[in-house]
Amino acid sequence: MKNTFDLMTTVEYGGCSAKLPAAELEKLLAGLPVLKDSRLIIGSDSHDDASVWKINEDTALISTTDFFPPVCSDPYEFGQIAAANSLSDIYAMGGTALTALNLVMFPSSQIPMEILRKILEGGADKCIEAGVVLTGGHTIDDYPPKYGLAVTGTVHPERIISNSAAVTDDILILTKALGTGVIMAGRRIGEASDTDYQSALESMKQLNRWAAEIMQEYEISCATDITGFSLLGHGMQLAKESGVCLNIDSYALPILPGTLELLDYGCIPGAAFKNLSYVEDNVSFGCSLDYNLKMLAADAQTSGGILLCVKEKNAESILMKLREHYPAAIVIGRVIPHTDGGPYVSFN
Amino acid sequence: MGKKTTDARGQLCPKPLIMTKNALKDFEGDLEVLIDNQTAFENVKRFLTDNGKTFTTASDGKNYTILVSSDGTPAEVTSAENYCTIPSVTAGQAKRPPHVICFKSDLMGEGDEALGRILIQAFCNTIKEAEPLPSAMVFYNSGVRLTARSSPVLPALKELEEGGIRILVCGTCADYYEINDQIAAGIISNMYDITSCLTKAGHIIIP
Repeated sequence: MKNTFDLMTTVEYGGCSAKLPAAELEKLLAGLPVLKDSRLIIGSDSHDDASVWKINEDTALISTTDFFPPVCSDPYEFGQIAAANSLSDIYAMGGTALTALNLVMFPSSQIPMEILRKILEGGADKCIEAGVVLTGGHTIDDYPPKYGLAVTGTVHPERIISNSAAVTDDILILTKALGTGVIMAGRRIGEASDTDYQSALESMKQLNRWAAEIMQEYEISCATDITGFSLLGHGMQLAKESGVCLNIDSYALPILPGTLELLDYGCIPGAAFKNLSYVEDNVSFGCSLDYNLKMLAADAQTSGGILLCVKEKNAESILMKLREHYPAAIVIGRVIPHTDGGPYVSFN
Repeated sequence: MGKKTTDARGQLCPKPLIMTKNALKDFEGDLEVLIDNQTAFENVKRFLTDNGKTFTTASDGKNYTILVSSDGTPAEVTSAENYCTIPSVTAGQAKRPPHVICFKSDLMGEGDEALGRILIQAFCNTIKEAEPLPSAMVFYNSGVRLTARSSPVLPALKELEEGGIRILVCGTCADYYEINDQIAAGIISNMYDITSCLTKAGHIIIP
């Protein structure tokens, strides 16, 4: 059965661009009552990717959820991307994803139901690829459609990869190219080419599972995935939690094909400006930084890559291993000490 | 000098930005941009500020007008009758040459200390008169004292900073002189930023 419904027509902003502004969210969440429990190893207070609950000396439970409105035209591909994105938070913590539940919002009277079927097929196939068992879900009649997963995984309590363990002289590696927000915005206004659009989709569909396995192999202790708050936003959170500064080289950033051309054309998604406002008090921008690269670093990523902090002696072999799965993986900078009152990210 | 209008009403982000950027390309006159969506309005303003354009804005709550001036002086917003004009202070020069002024001490030149102090004050107060303006000013060692609250040149530095010139203050130096909490101009910076700023400068001026 050939479907002709274009999911992109349902949304103005898709994917992680649809997140609430980070700065407002932080204010909103401050001071909410929380039940204290010593078994909670990582909660909501550290901007971490998922929560971690210690069951016993060998096992901790990781829980996370993520869902968003369509980021692409094809429902099957949307399902794959949404699932890969939801699973990513488990992988960013170095965990193994075990089970998942579908979260579905779909307007049954406005879009043919077979489109939903395609979305779910995409999600189900991605879960199989990830070795994750889909155990059910929940559906609500709502417009525009939204899809994602609630995922449960495990990790050894001693081997949790957090966003608060970066130390000076760690090397920063980014596994996927940046620019999904720009390409999707360009696609929406008919300015992104089919091949550039397709490479962005392929990048978003790719699981971060292999990065998680490589991180565990090398006993890496600090990483985060790059999603809606952009490289600068997630990088800043990681640096703040770790009490360090990330020195990132703008010319080293991996970039999806077509992204720079679109940025130069003025195709800058609104979310990039939101992210810029969120980070600018804590980021110093180089004197002759290229404006397009600045906006690229603020671009909201959907199902983006993982930012790893690795020891210099391991950097090269980790990079080689990562490149077997993520050809765009590259060193983008280094962790430096944070000066009191100074920036958390030096973007030069 | 010509004037042209770009009508971006009814266009969703990032279309208004693309239209504005396109209209500014190879255009020397004043540009009027019409927008009917607040997010797009904010984003276009932000883009213009980031790129050193001078502009004024007007809004009746539903429609927004941005007037980008060609020569650095804010142009008059026409058809002002129904608009409440908000002059927007923005800054900088569109085509700023990338030179950097490097303050390695709180004195100017070598020799008598009292003279050095008089000279550095005169120098800081004169920077704004000398075209072209620097892209950044870097303060290290005792130079950081110039950015402290008690500094006689603080007003001049703040004015330059508000004009879009980046001011980098060495954090290690401020720590060393124990004036970290008194820095009143610029941003506290680290050696990576300072080195990168100096490396990428077109040329460096050391008073």
